[in-house]
Amino acid sequence: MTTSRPSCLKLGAVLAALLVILSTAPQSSDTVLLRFDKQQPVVVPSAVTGPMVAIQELATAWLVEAPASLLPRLRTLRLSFEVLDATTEGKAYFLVFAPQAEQIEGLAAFGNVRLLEKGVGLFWSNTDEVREIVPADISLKRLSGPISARLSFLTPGRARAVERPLRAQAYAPFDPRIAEMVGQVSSARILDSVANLQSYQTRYASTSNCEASGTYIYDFFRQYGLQTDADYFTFSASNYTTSNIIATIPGQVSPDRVVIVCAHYDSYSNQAKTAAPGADDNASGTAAVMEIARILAGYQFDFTIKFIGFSAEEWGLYGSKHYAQAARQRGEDILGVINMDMIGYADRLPEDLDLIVNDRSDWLGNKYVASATMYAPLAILQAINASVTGSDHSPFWDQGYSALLGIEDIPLKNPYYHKPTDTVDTLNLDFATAVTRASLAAVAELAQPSSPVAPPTGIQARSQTVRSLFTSRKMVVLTWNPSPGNIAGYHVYRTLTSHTGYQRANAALVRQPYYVDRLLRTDVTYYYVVTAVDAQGRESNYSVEVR
Amino acid sequence: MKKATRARARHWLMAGVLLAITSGPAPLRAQTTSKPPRAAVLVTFGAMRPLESAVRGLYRGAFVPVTIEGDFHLLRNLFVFGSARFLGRNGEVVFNMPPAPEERFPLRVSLPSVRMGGGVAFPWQKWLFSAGAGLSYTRYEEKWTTEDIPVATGHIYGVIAQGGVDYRVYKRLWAVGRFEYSYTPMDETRQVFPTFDLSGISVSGGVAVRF
Repeated sequence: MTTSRPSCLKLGAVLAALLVILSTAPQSSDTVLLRFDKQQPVVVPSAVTGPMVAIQELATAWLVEAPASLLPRLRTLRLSFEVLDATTEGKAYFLVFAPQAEQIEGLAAFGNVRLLEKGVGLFWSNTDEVREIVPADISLKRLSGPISARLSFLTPGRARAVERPLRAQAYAPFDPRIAEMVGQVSSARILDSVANLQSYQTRYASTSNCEASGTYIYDFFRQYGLQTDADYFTFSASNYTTSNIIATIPGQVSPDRVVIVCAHYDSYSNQAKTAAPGADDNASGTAAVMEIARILAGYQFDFTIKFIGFSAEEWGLYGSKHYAQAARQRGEDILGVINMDMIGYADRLPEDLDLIVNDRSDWLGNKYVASATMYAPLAILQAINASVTGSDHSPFWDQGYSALLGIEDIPLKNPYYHKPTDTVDTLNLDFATAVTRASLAAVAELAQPSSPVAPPTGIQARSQTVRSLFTSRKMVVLTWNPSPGNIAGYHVYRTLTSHTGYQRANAALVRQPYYVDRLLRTDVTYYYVVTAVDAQGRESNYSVEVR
Repeated sequence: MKKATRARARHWLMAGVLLAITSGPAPLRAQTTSKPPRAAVLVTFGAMRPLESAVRGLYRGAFVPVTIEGDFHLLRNLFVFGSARFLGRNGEVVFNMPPAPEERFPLRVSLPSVRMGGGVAFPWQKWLFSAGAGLSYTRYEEKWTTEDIPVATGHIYGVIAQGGVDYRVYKRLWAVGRFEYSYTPMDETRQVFPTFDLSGISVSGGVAVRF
């Protein structure tokens, strides 16, 4: 067969056109950055969600990385999304936080910026590190890699504030030992710690002063006999080295279960290398952690307590991200994280504490409020707002842990924020002390002071659904290891909200190391704890919670 | 003639043929020796096997339907019927998860239904063969008899198809036999089992008085 010259020319032209089209089309290996609105339920095939990676959850949106090749398919679905950046290759993205939209939009002078929500923006530039080009009044969180939160297009957005009543429900009986601990909190010691931290002039991570302040915290923990470690890591393009300071009280019953109370000890200002006293941000939170550690060091608890001073928070939450990612990798069983950041400035009196949680951590906020109400009354405004991610609780959220932020005001009201004038004389020590007391009570309640009767261990819950034609019910079988000693029996407690509001499920003392919770609703999740009762009728602390 | 008109004409033609078969005279009814009766009242008892294994698992053994039916012959071989069927059974749910002791929860289900439909009947000597189909309305009620669980109630619409063989025993008194398939799908929002429905096959026998 022969081909005529005009046909050859046509074929050549078509091939050339194809080559041009293929070379200009987006490469299928490109990854785009998308913002998805949280919305009403939409069924999205797993083939679509599979290659998508959530890198940040906000109150009303998800930030997602997805292959560019997925875009045509996404456009056919009833999803509300926008492309934030057409290619993510080699870029470092930062969430930026500032009260005014103009502050965020002003970052356009330094790179690319997109306003995501009120007070939250996305910023990236041609540099891998932006702390030193972004104005001091803007705080940062570096986005890196997938978060463990379930990417769900079925989650309606929620950013609401709920003021909890001061007479919140008591979730555990009054424990005089916790009251005794709370009574030991000293304003003078908090003041002393803040002053000592401020005396380093700056604690800007990357400076030797920051490392010296870390050593001061390390020595402080050691002074009270706490097992203490400096967990070194490198951050930024310049590979600076700094360390998180971690002190531990090992748990007596379930040492694998960990309660964390933390604050970042590094500081920042518009003269960060020479003058960043950071009394409120965040010597106040660090002093609170140190004071709580000092007091709790004299007690024993069922669960392990870790006191952590994080570093490089001001650069983009590097210290807490380093810890939280490692904790997830080693399977650390973190019950809850209480992060205190800026708890010393009062713009009005009486000042209230803003308690920020996400949906998963709502129980922790409730527990905090209940503990504070019982042992250290304090005005608290609890807000569920997944967009408040500019502090060290956020990397724990990203790893799927429950965590809360205690802060004087969101949005910030401190006029000395990130300035050389953030000094101890601007603080309200009464407020800082009240927050320290409330946090201590919450930590102690979470970790449970050891009791004479050991709670059961090895709790397991299995369920079976029993079904008739038109009705189904759930049978939950709880089993546990018998407690040591002269145990008369056990009580089983149930709740619908994790870690709070336990109600006794058994009528009579349970004699065997198992219990059947009968004929429960199948569409409800139940949470259980078990206690042991000895021959004198003394009841143990709650066991580890199971669901 | 247009295509649609031709199709409509074909349908009417088929309907006419069917009517002729069911009610027409010889030769189609050449072997018929007696006229079908005008009306009948039947009472039958039987056994129903649910098609869904989950239903059989909960309510072991056959259900025993009791049916009262009235037939009325419109044309020579064409009849309509209306019936009421009573169906109920005891069952149990078994829970077994060691170390917990086994527990059994007694159940009681009632499935009374009302049915209406039509069919064809062919008399031959002392026999009457029939086939019919219709709609059913079933009211269900299920109780966990020993537990404080709300009684589940509701209703389901379904379809039935049945065949019958009747034998004239004495004058107006007939012995009747019935085979029935009932299709009773559940509302998807209510069903517990993914493929659960109350469909079943039943065989029953009884007596009829024909007028």
